Amino acid sequence: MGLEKVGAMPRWLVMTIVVILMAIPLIHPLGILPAISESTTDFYNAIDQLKPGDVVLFDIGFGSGGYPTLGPAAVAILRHCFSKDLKIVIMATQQEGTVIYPLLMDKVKPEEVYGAKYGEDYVFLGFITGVQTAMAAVLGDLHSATPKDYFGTPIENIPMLADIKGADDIDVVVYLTTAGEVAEGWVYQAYSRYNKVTCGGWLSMMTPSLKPYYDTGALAGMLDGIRGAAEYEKLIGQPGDAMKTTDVLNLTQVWVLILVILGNIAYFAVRGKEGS
Amino acid sequence: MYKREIPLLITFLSGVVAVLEYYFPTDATKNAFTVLKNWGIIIGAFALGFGAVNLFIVYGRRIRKAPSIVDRAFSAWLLFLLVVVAAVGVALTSASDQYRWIYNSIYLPLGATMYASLCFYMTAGAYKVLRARTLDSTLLLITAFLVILGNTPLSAAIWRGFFTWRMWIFDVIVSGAYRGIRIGVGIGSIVLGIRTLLGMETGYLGRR
Amino acid sequence: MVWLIPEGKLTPFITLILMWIITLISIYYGKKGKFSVRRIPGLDKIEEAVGRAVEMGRPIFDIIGMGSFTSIYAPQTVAGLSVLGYVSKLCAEKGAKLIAPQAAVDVMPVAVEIVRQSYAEAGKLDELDVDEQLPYLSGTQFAWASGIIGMAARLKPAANVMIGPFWAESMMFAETFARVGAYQVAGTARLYQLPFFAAVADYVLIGEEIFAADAYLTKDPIKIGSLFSQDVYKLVAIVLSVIGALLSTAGVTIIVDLLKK
Repeated sequence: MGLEKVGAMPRWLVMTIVVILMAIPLIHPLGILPAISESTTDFYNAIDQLKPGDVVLFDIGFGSGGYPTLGPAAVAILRHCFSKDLKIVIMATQQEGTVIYPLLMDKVKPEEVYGAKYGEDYVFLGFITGVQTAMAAVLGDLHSATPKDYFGTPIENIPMLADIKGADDIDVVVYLTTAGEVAEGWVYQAYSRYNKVTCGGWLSMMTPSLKPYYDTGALAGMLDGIRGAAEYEKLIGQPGDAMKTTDVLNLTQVWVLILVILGNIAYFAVRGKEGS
Repeated sequence: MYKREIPLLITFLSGVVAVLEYYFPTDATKNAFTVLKNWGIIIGAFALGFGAVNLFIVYGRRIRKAPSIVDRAFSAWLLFLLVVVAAVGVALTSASDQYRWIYNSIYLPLGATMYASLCFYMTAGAYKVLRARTLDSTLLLITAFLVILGNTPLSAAIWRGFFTWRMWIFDVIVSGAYRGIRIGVGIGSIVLGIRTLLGMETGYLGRR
Repeated sequence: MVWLIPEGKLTPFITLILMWIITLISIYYGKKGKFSVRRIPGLDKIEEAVGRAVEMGRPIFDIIGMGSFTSIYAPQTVAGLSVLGYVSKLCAEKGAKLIAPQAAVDVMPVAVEIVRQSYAEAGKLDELDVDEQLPYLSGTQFAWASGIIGMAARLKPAANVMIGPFWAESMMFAETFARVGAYQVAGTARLYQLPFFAAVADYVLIGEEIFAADAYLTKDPIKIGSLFSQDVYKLVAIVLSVIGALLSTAGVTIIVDLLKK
């Protein structure tokens, strides 16, 4: 086969190899641990330095599309929070967040693993419409923003919320999202307006655009896609779905690199032939 | 007049209320803006019905007229599912086990699959596009190569320098360029907003 | 009144007032024909794209994204609609079949009205089938994306114009249309998606270029005047950034403090 034919590798072959490379680590995890970035360590430290009873506001800002990437990150962060006996106020700025919540709780198992109680240690406010309006409402006056929790219990009947009324009672704001509006919204509403310690996580492709907020200190920590989630799993010492997915990332990205090299070899081979 | 002047006046007044609420957040401005937003939600709900009607018209027509039986079957299947999901959601609410089953068993895997399929698009795109054709594309190729290397945990585990290079590219090159574009986008949006409030931008009214 | 402005919003408010004044002055001079716009190759190529569709006897897609009028992406949606107006006008005049699938229910009636108006002006309203040419696919991201991917694979369009806000579906669209051999002009002000468009599309409108589309395409001196003010603000932003960086390096935070007021 001439070198130039490498550049015309059929699409089905390229894709089949991608599928095989994706399947291998799911069947047999490679267990390559990622190098931990500073931004993930900062995220971890922002939670880790809290004392039992401190309050974390946790926003599920993603739906089914973001679940494979951000679900593992959410599970790792929630596990970290529950292990430290923090009070967690969970909300959703994306409509699908309400269906993601039970999926996360099925994995975290707060009652069984951490002995936490709904209403005393954590609460789910459900989806609050309006993105930034919702954020501003919850931070401004949580009790007015949502008179009932997701399951219909009046807020005044939820013991842990008796002392949590707004931004002043919240220690750290954490969000995971696929939406740029949510990612930037929390910076404006929680950090700029109330100077709260704010940590965000999102898809890798959003990082170049959002990293300036971390660089300037507006975000205390950030999780960079599935890679960040795997780093967080490593930090809390509980390898999970993110680690497995990172293996997929390892193999497929190496394949992309090989393809790029092959494509260029073929391109220069063709050009060389045309030149001669 | 009702097709141009009145809509422009509504746009102007709504815009002024939104600006006032942002800069002068008093009870009066907040209440006025809340009323406006609620109107928006109600109109949006009506518009949702418009979308559903369009789906029924288009796919109803395909059920009757599509030449292939497969097309007809898929069109019927789409409308059937639309009715089922809407009925379950309205009758039993989205918190019900039934609705959640539909979401967890059908919608979630489909959404995740579509999202994951991006991997194929990106692989194919990278293979085809990242070639050293010109100076620009060579720079893009080198940058992409370094970023992928740094982004792959395996290579960063072999030599941390790959990771450091990626971070340098992000911190210096990408951040600088993105901030420039971001400022331009912000300014462009504001000027478009001013033009809209002044009634000079009428594309959104459905006539040019 | 000024005392009602909360902390951190005084400078933005004064800046906004100044921007209104400068924009109005620019529009005044624009009316006198003092300004012209530099070439934006991406927009110039739209006419070529429509011509290609006519020659090949295949449809042309115009996708404005799934942004609504009530989100922060509304300006991009408005820009997309302006381009849709131009594309539909060209399609009606030249006889190309336009396909513009819709995702936002509040934007759809407007898009329909724009296209209908273009066909009416060309006296070809009878050639427009709104339900088939502007179908509502879905308001959910990947349902809408898979709908368009399917349509592109079946109809094999000659060209695709994508201007507006786009999310993760951008790469799917760009790659699918490239695969079916469509000539592509793409533009967005969503920074996350720009690299995908830049890599795959034939012509790209970067960031604020999409907001200039309406002025550029209509050559309306008033709109072109307002574009001049945009350049003035950019110049001010550059000067402030440079001076601010130099002063901050020297430990003087006067500009940062001023912007925070």
